[in-house]
Amino acid sequence: MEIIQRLQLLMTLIGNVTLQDAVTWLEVEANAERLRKEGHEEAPEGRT
Amino acid sequence: MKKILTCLLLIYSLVMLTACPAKSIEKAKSSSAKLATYANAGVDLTRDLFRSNFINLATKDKIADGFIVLAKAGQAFDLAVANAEKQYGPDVPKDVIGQLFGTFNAEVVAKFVTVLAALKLTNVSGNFGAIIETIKTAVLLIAGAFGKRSIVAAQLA
Repeated sequence: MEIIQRLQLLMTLIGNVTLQDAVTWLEVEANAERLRKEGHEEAPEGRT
Repeated sequence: MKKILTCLLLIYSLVMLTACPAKSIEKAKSSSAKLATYANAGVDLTRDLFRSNFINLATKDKIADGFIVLAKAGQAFDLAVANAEKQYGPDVPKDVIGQLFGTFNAEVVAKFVTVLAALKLTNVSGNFGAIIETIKTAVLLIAGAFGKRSIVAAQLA
């Protein structure tokens, strides 16, 4: 059981190192642009 | 026999020496991608802070503007890395890599520090504070890979 837990921990650590969830700077800019516009809408609708 | 071993050692050293820049270019790309991921988490965090009324519209706008500037710097860095790879192939000269890392620290990391400092000023605690600390730690780790951890830590203190 302990070995399995250690393996799971190791897998988690390895998972953190990989860049599977990495985003591009272009996506960051698009996200930041959306954030910048938030609260400036004429009608405050569509907040998700 | 001794000469053969010396030759083999020399060849091995040369191979390692030429392989190093390619590894560094990969490190530059990987660090940039990681920083982009943390920046995106920072944008999402700012949105949550704004929606939860922890920060006002003006503060949200200021931080969003900072993230936009940071994202443009990140794109410029990635483009510079791609151009270096296109020009030199896998064996990018060490001085070019040194310049790239200099740009990374001066443009991307420094801009991220500015945005993080603005977020820290919001004085939020609980989950939001924990996320800010996590992002801060991640940025420090990445800056540490370039030997700039102490400088960045001082800016964020």
